[in-house]
Amino acid sequence: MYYPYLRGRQFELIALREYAVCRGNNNIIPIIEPVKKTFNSLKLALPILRNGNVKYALVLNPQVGEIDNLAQIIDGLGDSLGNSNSWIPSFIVSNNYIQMQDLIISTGYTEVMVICNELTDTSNEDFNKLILSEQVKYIVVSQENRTLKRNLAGKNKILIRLDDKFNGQKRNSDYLEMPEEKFSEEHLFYSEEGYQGFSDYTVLVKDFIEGGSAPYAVAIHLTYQKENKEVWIRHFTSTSNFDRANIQGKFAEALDKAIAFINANHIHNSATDELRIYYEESKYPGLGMVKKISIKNHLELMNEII
Amino acid sequence: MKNHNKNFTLNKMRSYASIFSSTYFSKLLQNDDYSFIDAKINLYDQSKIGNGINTYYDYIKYVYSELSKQYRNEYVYKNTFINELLIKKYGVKNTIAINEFRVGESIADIVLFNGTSKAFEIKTELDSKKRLNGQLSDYRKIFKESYIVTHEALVDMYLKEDKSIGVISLETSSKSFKMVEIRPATINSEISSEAIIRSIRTNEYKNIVKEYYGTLPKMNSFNMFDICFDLIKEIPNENLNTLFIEELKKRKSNTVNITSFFKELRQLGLAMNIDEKMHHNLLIKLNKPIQI
Repeated sequence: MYYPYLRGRQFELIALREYAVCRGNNNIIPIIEPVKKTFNSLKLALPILRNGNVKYALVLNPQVGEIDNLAQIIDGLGDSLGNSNSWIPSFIVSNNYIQMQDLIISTGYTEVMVICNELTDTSNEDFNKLILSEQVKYIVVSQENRTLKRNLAGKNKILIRLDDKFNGQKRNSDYLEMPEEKFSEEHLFYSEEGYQGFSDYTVLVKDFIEGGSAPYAVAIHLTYQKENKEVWIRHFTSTSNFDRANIQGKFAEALDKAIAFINANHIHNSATDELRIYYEESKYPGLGMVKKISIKNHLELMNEII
Repeated sequence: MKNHNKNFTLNKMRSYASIFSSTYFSKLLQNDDYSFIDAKINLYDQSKIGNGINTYYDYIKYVYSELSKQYRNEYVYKNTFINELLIKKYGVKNTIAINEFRVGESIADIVLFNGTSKAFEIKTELDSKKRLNGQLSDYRKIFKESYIVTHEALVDMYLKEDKSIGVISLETSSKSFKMVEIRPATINSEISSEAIIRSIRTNEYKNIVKEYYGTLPKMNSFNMFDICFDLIKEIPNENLNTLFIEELKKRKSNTVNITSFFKELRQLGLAMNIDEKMHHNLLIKLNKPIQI
């Protein structure tokens, strides 16, 4: 299983919605960290995921964004949350293992997911007690720990490896000079390396950055599989990146390059077909949609190859 | 010891200055988050609470007056500009004031559109004049008049900088600040069609084309910039100037309501484009007694 880690923002959620209605078999469980106090986008997305039989993990103690506590999420989502077998209650654990254990028990949820961050010491005794407790089913780790794997063997837990795969640049115009890059080979090896799932931040940067003004450049990030089965990424970037003007024309420049590539490589999925429509109609869909297409392409690719 | 005190005061002033931030005021409006003010009170002014300072607005007034005395930053200049020049001299009825307007590589601190277009560059006592020439040459591409707003002690220096530039002086000797135009700007005869189309929004350059030619040509979102640019290049300069000013005056702006805002917070009100409802909301929040 692939567990893409996404923040609950509008276009990330639209990508998930569209993924949920367009794919065949599902091999993806998205992990969604809510970041907005207005829950409209999540309320729209979660029922669509359920109807598409896409199970999702929802972080109940988000560490970035506007949300202060678990009650805001539960109240904010109300009935849209769905019943407990359609989603995985998830908690980001830092180094507050005992406190997290108490929090999880207090919610009454079972089969929860625990997500480690940079501060988590996966060798810590209390951490091991936490993940071996009966409430915890999924454990998301970012560092290799063989003792941990051994401790979990035969315990009916799902261990997921989370890596930051996207080589984010400070400015969009920086992608212009970047050649194609290897994105990930986790899908080939996670299982033989003792994991039951793998995770990354898709084609977005790991850090949560709010807002931002009009960029100087437009970049369309597309992942694809090479013949050796690895997933690679190309950054199709506009060239006239001198100021903030004419974002539509810059999208056209990036799109020209993307279309040439997907046509030459016969890449067809609902995301790349959407790009072809914009190309044929000479239409600029907005930067949010460009991000959505990059995410959706990646989800469809990963779903297909694992 | 003296040096230590100086540093302490400077840090305190910098800390005070950070209160006037649109991010913080948005958080106050949206989430009832007073922590950015409470933190300063806890750090510097606990003893003053109850002694002449009771509400949050009392405290804001106090902080603003301290900044005015000891640390006249861009916020104080902009706010004084609004109070002393925009409201008293230029008038707000037919004027649109925009906070931070991007032209080329530069951002004009305040720009005004009424019968003409004016750009204002603020150079406080804390600023350097390093980027000045680049800024002025960018503003001249689209504005008829460009001004430097500076402290009275620096006026002579800036008068020599560039003869076509207007100079406005902040006079801080009396208790209430004044802003005086020392030299008017020379009116710019030519503006750049390219700088205009690159500085305004898509619907704005489309409106200019439509207004002048009566209709928009056939175009799509990929080529419309280039097509409109070719057409705008052909508009006589004086007509283009008028069309540009009229178009920018359509921007949503709260300039006309600015006099109803708290005197110390007018610049924030302009920057955040606060409407009457938000202002009313802010009024309630700031009139709350401080509870620490």
